[in-house]
Amino acid sequence: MKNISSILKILKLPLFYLSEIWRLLRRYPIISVVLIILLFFTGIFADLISPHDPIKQNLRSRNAPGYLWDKQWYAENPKAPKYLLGGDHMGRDVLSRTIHGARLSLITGGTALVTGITIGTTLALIAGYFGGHVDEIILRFLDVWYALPFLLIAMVAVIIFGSSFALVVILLALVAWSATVRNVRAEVLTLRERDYVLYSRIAGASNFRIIMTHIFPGVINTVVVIASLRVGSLILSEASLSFLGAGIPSPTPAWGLMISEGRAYVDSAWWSTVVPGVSIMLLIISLSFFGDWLRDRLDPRLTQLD
Amino acid sequence: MRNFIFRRFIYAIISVIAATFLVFGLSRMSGDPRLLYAKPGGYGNTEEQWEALGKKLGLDKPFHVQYLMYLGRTLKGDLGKTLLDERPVLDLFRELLWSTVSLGIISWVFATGLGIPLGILSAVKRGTVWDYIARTIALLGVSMPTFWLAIILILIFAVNLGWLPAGTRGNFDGHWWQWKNLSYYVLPSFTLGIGAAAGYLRITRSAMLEVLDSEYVKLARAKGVSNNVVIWKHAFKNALIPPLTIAPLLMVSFITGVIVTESIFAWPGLGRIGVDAIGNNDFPVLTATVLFFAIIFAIVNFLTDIAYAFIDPRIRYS
Repeated sequence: MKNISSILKILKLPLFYLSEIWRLLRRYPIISVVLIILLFFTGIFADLISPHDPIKQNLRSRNAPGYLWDKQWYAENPKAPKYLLGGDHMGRDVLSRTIHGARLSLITGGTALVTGITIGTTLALIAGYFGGHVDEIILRFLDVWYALPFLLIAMVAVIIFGSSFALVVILLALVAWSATVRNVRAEVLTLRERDYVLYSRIAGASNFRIIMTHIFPGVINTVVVIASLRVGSLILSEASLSFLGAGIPSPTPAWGLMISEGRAYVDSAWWSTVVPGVSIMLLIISLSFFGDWLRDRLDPRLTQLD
Repeated sequence: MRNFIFRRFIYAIISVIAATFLVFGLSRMSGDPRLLYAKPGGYGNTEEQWEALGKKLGLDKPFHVQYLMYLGRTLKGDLGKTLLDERPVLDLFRELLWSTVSLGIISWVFATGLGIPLGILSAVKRGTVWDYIARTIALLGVSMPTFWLAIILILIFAVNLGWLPAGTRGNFDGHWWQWKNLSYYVLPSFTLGIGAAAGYLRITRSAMLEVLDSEYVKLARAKGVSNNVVIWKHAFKNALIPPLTIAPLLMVSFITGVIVTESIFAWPGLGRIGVDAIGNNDFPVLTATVLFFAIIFAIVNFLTDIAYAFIDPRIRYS
């Protein structure tokens, strides 16, 4: 406390600011948003930011400790490139790989999410708006879909088609779509009975027009909330897939793959598993805080949703 | 009610059939399944043997006949032989079934035992230290990748501290309740259970908060009913409905978790042989594993629906 107040004195700020900052941090997910934006930019500018080539191997730096905590080692091995967070079992820079991994996670997670949510929302709009048999079929299909052991089927698909970026995105999208359908459909069911929908039908609007211009805007909030709550678990699924060797093929730096590769050396070189693991955790925690906040703002009725 | 149960039962069966169809379809989509058994022109492979293998697998028949043949064999309990050592898959499953199921049960007991009480505590003592502790656990449980948690636990408790064994199921002799056997379960079941515990915690907490805020609880309080009675007699039962409904959702993450956990802890179970089968291109084992998990999931889903309908009569009539 003494430290903090002395810092505040130097900055010529009254102590009051501290509680004010704390209040803001509790009300808005500032830290999460900053972290997400940070990861986003490291992902986009991965090539510019990362200090080393993420795929380049260097025999000298095999399982080298990080420069941050073991300068001694670098003094003894002056020829080894300075890896801030250490090297992995092939002598690649963990920091650069983690930065590139952020890009990969965001791209796969994002693409899969957008594809999946689009499919899911379309189906929900159709099911909710038309009702009847169409509704029944889509819902039953959803029930069956839920019951499939996704991870194993994904791995089967990977053996058969060979692992590739496109396949991983497709598989993740196949998981993502089911999340939206139920909630969005329920929303559509109430919107469809509104008077303005009735009037536009009387005015002769086509089904397509009613859905797109009168119903869809009403469900956007729900869709955004669900998307923000789902993206974390998608990124986790991607990490699990690449951990099991069924993700994007090596040597592309994916977080799950890095953890799986570093696993054998975890007692001597903890950094190659801990760094990507902490990155995943921070990303998921930030996304989950942000998603919760968004839900409370846009659609508090979805509190039951996890 | 009978009608409802019947309908749910049919859905459960359709789910399982869909899973087998998907896996079977994928296996046939990949091209000639004979390539999984033998490479053409490989050592000692004659044209006749190649044809005979095709006949044995029923490749000369159309796809739907092949699928029905597969389904028929499966119903009779013939899951085929492993490609690796030609053992009947069913034997392999019998051997490993208990190991996976016991791990699952212990993890689930751990998850409910930790998640639901903490969720209630966190809701009842909202805004206190307890609430923050519980919410931190929930957050960590949801955000930590299973495989990473497992590695960190092994590093801390097995490698550095040396308190617990880090893998396999041990020899498993003597009584099951002996520590030398149970100690092998601690790390895997914690790894597997913590995510589900976090899920239970979150959902119990929000359900409990909602119930505590409802009119009938306020009435009970206004009547002067004591705090304990309000919580346990009035609120608790209704707050248990949402945790019950997420059982199938948790089951999905549980199945994924079993696969990952078993392969990290070298656990002799069905999840691990599924992963191993992928490495070995062992298709009969893989299809059987998918079938197994699909059946488990369908059973859980079915039981949940029924339990839900018993507790909440509104479900039946919708």
